[in-house]
Amino acid sequence: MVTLNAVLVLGAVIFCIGLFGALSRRNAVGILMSIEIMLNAVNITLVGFASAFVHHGTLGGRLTGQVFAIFIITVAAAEASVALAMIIAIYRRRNTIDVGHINLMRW
Amino acid sequence: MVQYAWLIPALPLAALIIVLLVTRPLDVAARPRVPRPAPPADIAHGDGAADTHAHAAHDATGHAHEAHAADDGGHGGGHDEHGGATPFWAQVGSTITTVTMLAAFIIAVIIFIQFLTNNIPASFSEPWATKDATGGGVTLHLYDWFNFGPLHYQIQFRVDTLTAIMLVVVTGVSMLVHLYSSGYMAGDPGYSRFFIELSFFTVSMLILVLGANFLVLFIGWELVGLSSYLLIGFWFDAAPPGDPSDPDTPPYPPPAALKAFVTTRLGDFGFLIGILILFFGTQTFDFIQLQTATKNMNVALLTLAMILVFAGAVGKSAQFPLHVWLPDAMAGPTPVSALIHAATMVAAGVYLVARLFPIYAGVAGPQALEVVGYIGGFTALFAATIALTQNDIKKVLAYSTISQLGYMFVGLAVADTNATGMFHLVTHAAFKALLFLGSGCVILAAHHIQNMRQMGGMARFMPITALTMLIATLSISGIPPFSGFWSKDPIIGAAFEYGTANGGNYWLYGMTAFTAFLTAFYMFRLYFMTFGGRGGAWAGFWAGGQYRGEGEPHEAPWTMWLPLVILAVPTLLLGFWSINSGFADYLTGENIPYTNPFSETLTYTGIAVAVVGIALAWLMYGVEVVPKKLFTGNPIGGFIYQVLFHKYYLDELYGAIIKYGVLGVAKGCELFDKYIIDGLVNGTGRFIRGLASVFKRSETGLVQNYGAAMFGGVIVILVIVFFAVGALK
Repeated sequence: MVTLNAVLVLGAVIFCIGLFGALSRRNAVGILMSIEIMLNAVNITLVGFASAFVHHGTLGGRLTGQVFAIFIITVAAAEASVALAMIIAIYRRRNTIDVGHINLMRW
Repeated sequence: MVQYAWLIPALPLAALIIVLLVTRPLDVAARPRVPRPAPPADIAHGDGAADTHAHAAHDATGHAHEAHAADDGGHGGGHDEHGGATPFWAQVGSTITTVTMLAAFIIAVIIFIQFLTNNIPASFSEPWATKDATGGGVTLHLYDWFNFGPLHYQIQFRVDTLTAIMLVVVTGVSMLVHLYSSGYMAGDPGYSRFFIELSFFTVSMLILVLGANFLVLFIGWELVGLSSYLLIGFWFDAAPPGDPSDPDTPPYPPPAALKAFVTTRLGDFGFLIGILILFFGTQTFDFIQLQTATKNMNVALLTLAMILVFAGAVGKSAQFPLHVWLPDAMAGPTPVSALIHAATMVAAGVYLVARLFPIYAGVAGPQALEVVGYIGGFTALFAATIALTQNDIKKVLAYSTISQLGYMFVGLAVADTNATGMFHLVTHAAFKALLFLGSGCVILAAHHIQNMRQMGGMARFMPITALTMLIATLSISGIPPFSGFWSKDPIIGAAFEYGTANGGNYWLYGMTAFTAFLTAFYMFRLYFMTFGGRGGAWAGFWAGGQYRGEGEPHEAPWTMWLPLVILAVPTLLLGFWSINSGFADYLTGENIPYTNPFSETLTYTGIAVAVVGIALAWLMYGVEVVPKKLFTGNPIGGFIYQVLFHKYYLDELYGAIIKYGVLGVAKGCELFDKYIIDGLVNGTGRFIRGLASVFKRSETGLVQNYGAAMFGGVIVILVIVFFAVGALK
């Protein structure tokens, strides 16, 4: 039996891994992947809560976590496509996807 | 006829517009074109100042107005060829203005006679005219300026006894001045312009005296100021007349005009505040409504307002300390001086106090009239002492005007009615106009010399001028039966009674009586220095001494001596109107019992004082047995003489106040602005820039730094919320 605590700890760990990756990777694609990891950590948490309270509340209330997770997967897919398109555009223009060199807004 | 009183200012206004738009352009166009000479390098205002041909020989120190020949783009004739030199269209213009002024004078006289004979109808068929419920006047409603809730701003004229007598005085003197000017200004290139401005001046004054409320009066008041500015600065392109620190130097027109305007504006500031206080307290500008409405006002506030209103009169009527503009106002042509000193401008202040006399005397605190009386009395004495030492004939007359205006204010302040002061205004208008016009004849005869030291014995050359001037001089000295005696004696008498009524405070009586002595002395000094002198007929009164100027003086043309003769008639006879209190009866509508002035010692004292003054002048300047060194030779007398000769150094004092006081404050303000205000603004900017130079380094432009900061912020918020929730539990 997997307890709710174990699921939440797993989600937190995966989220922190993703956060570390998003803040430390230099490669734009790497950052994108890290963001996906963070989103999926949130999905794990949502699904964990939903299964933990599956016998409580109304039917709609019980399904909320799962529905949220599906929404996030959908939005993440759209976001990934947009982000990849941007990365390709940046690469075409500047011939690099190293975010350390993309600092147009610097003082 | 009284319902047509609006014609009195309207006719001259129409005439001046015709002259402005028709005859003056024709006049200018008809003159031969001459190329303008290049302005000399040392005169900024040099339009035509180089055109000094033909006159420079005989006019080095006098009024340097040969320098205007290029005025109006034309070419003027000589100033000494009277009569023949005026171009046709200029002559037409002056005739139009003079004739309309005569028509206005006739209307004014008819209205005056209507009031004199109590022949005012109770109602009028004309819709604009209504008879007042109180005061016996007639209100002419011209139009509503605008209405604002319960407040009505109306353009209204009102004709009552006070206005009627002022209308006669203003139009009469102005008409004579117009006639005189057609001789005096003959050949001047600005001839047409002069008559436009002269008529404009008169119209302004007529609007002032006709105004039924403060609104209209103030419009006229400011128009008078503007037109006096134009007229005093008439010879605006004259060459500067030498050393300005020497009191014998004639004033320079452009700064004199500015001085008149700015000095009277100082008084007008107080006047305006006074009007606003009155309006604030009563919600009305109308003079009749004010008389009842002011009774509900706080007396202290009302008294303050009336003193502030009097400040306007101080400026316009040239009372101490704002008198300094009037002596300089003679920079204008002499007819202008006559108009300013006799009928318009300076009479405005006296008229204002007389108009508001019911409020001054009946409603406001006694302090208001005390201020009027003491300023008047002090000014009378103060100006008379300056007049003792001046050598410029017009300057002596200017200071005598200031002194006589002081008398009028004393008369208003101490007497029971405003008739005492107003009667002196009327008689003074006649004899002062006569004196100034006569001095204009003298100045022309002496080839534009105004310094009396270069005159003398001129009665031989110009008997009409001399005789009429003698009449006016006797009148202003207060010798019966001339009009000046009948107006001045009641003022001195009222000042004495005022002293008795106020516990023996005879200051005002002393000042006015001593001024009477000074007046007689300096006026006869003027007369002897100009017309008489040692060795003349009638013990020096007639044609004595030798003429000390250059060239041969000659009598003025008829256009110039005729006004003198006409003015001599009221100067001689006006006093008989006041006998049996005729003037006071007329003005107040009450029957005032007759008192014989010759039954009192006070009257004989006054006459004796004047005679002593005349005798002293006769001894010093008529037969010259008393040397002037007797007074100026010793150190104290010499010092006093120098102080008086330099007009108490007041011009220098005011100059220093402006130079060091006003400009010093301005400099201080400039430094405050430069270093404190600008320092604050610039310092704020510099401080922000300094902060920015540090904090701008946080803007790295790297997305990951922003992301880190965002998560850091979220963590900080979470921690705070965590502890806050914990603390709440």
